[in-house]
Amino acid sequence: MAILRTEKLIKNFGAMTAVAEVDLEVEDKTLHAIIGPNGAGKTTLLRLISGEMPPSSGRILFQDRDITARPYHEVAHLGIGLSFQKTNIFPKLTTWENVWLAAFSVGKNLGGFFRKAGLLDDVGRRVEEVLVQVGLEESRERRARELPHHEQRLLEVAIALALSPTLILLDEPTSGMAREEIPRMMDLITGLKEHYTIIMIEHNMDIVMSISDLVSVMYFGQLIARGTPAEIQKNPKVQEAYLGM
Amino acid sequence: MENQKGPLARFVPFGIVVLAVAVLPLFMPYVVATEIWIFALMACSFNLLLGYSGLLSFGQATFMGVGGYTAGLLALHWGLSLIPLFILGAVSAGLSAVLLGYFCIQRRAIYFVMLSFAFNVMIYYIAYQWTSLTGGEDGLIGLPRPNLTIGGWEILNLDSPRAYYYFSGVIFLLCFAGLRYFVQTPMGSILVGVRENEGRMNAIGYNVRNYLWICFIVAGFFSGVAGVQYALLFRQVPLDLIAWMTSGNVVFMTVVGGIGNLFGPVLGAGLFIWLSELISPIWARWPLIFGCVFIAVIMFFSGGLIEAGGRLWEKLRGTR
Repeated sequence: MAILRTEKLIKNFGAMTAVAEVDLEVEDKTLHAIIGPNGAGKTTLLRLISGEMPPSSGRILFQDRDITARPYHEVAHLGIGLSFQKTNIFPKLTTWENVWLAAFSVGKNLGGFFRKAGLLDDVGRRVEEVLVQVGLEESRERRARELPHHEQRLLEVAIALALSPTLILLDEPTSGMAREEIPRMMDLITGLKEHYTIIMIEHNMDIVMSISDLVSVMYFGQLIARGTPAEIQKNPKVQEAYLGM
Repeated sequence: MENQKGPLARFVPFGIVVLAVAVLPLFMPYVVATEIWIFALMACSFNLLLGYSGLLSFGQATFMGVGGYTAGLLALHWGLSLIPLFILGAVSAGLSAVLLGYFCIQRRAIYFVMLSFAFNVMIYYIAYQWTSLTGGEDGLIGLPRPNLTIGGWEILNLDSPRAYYYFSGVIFLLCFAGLRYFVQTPMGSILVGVRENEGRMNAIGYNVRNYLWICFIVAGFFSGVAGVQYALLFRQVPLDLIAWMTSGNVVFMTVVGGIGNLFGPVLGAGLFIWLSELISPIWARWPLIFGCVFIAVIMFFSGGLIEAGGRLWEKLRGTR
């Protein structure tokens, strides 16, 4: 069953079309990778789904609800968590505080606003769960800006996870990570696959082909292929357009 | 939001402020000491915007003025008692913050600064021109200072500077505790999050504009309380109370004291008022001293005097 569908989704920036009539279907509890060369429109597509920007036309349906052009801040409450390509954390706050802000956002109730933040046990428990899940529990007291890059990337994912999402959007989760640091992120994403639906943009083909259930290929804003990693690798259109073969 | 500090770390700083309220008149006249706590409250409320939310408002005097004028007019024409004066003065300032804040928080950075400044100037000229209501350039003068009564019973006669000082000190401490609690609730954490990364706060589900609006209103409300205190202290509302110069002074006080927490603005306000009231009769060019302090703080202690004190303390303890 499709948890997310886009219908004829278009995003224009002036005369340039970044996303051109994209019909994407993402099945529940799958890891759906979106690949394509730089400038293919992958990140723009994620930004449309996350509500960061409205589409020029078309529809986005999440769990059969039309969420097209919903305000950015509302989308997180619908169960969509976004992890950015460029690390987008709270650098001066501690790791714990970074995750806390996300956990409180979805767990908040009016009563919670009248209590001291440190006394909200349920939010604190959720933060601890997420920190353990991503393996950052030892860095909880460290300021985010002091974390090594790969831990900042993990924190980026942790913030998305703390929203208790149904769908996680991962935009190049291994971006900028050293080769030896990548397996830790891969293990994390593989573990997440069991519990969440994931849309992942990734340039590292080894990662894409080894952990994805389905792969969609974008080229000049259009979706040109969809299939399992094995099917995509054999697809002549993909080889021609994306792999340049 | 993080693990709670120990009881000592939580209560000692507040205890120092309580002690300061108790002993300050030993070192200066009651009127000057009262003025310090009034501007300390004003600076703390302003610091909600600057220190916690990252919004530099150059128009906070608007709300001090609205609170002061409201209380002044109600005291002068309606003879209201003390508690209603405070409530209505603060609420009117809060309501004006609802309106002006709605527009100001639509913009950020220099545009926010200019909007807050423009509204301040606009309200100032309304007060200046509307002579029949506000007294124009003369302001409102000859205000009565009602005694503290509850249910018709007189609790405290506020005629003497000493009585009014301690009454104002208690009002300050109550408001300070309220502001402190406010920044310790999730609201404080959310505002810090907005200051650090507004885009990410939106992405994780916070309607940032609404939170900034609430912050603006709360800051306006407490500035209104300070305005009422000021009007009753001097039994007048000078036009200058609502002038942009007052807004600027509050910025100076806060930055010099330190914007990292609520104690910095208290320190900054104390220093500013002390210099202006006690040094100015001796040396008219006292702003030079404050200017030097301001430059030194900006150059060497971006965390203000609080940070400078902290560093000195660490040095004395030999931890560095």
